[in-house]
Formats: sequence, C-alpha cells, structure tokens
Amino acid sequence: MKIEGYIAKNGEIIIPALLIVQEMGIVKEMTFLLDTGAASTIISEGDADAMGLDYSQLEKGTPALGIGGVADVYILKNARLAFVSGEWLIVKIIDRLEVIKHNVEDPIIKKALKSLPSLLGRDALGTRFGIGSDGDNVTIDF
Amino acid sequence: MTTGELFRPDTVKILKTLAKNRVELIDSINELRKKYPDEYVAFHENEVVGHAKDDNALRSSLLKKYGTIEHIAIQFISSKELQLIL
Repeated sequence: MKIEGYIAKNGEIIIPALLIVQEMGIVKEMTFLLDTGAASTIISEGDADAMGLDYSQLEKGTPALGIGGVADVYILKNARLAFVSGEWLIVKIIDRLEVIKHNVEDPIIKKALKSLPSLLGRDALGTRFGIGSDGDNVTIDF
Repeated sequence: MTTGELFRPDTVKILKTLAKNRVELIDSINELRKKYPDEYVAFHENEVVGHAKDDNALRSSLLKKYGTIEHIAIQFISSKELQLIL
C-alpha cells in the first residue's frame, strides 16, 4: 500500500494519520514524524495531552530508552492508524501503541519535551518499504 | 460501531491540511521562536492564527473563532533551540 506525507525543508518527513481507539472513544487527527530508527510508533506526551488521554486508564509498558534518556511508556491497546492514500484512508492496526510520558521536574524542559512529535516507527512500516520524495510530497510504499 | 463510521467525509482533506500546516510550521520555526518564545502557536496556511502561554486557552479561543480546529497545527515553541536526535 502507498501512503502520503510531506517533507519539511530540514528533511523531516511528516505523515498525517487519524488515530482511532474505539474502546477509549479516541478519534484524533494528528501528524507523525517518520523515524525509521524507532522500533515502535510512539504517541508523544504533547499529542497525548492534546487528546486528553488519561494515563491512569492505560497499562504501563516497558520504559523507553533513547539517546535523550529514559521515559515512562503507557500502552494504547487495539489502536488503528488511518493513513492518507489519494482520496482514501488505509487503516493499519497496531495492537499495542506506545504513549510516552517524561519524568522531568523542570517546568521549562517539561514544556519543551511536549513540543516533541509523535513518531511513526518500524512496527508500522515493517521490513519492506520504499520512500519517495519530490521535495514537497512524500510517498511510502509498504 | 465499525471503524468506517468514524471517518468523516472530509477526513482526508483535514489530514492533508493538518500535515501541510505542520510542515510549514517546522519551516518557520526559527522565526516563530523569535516572535513567540515559550508560547503555544497555532499555524494555518503559512500564518500564525493564534498564540498563548496556555494550550487549553489557545484551543478554546480557536474553537470560538473557527468552530473546528482539527486542521490547525498547534505546537509549543521552546525559546531554546532543541536538537531532535533520533
């Protein structure tokens, strides 16, 4: 299947998707930063806040370790991501979608961390995919 | 309720607009950092359509102004330039 996104001048590839978690009543338009280095697709703390996610309702997962340190992980079960493909939406099921929550006391750093994007990782892409860009528009075949 | 019933007829258009707004916000981040340090900024069609220190206040004012805000890119603009290492 082929999904669509856009590329920024700094090379960041932005993929729009509709997040659906029926059990929790979540239907949210959002964007992901394509990150082929990330093992998992991750909902950022900023996006989680914007959708009013209640962490107490979520299962706690294994902490995430990255170059920037360690963060708590919560799990959204039976999530669906609907990607744009022309005038259609293509739905990908992600059984356990990770949501990041940072443990930081400094209020300025805490806010700055909330500006981080959600990431589209390898669990959504799989191992066979191709990325094309014309400088503005991006397509991912997988 | 099936998944198909959750899609609004204009969902594709909203998603494309949101992503374009996000890219244009990223492209303008240095200028935004100078004008709106440590504020939440709402970006649509290459323009700032709202800004505030509090994201809930910003979303409320945008909802009053536009009715729907799903297509508008909203982001906290840190006064400090942060390098995203992935």
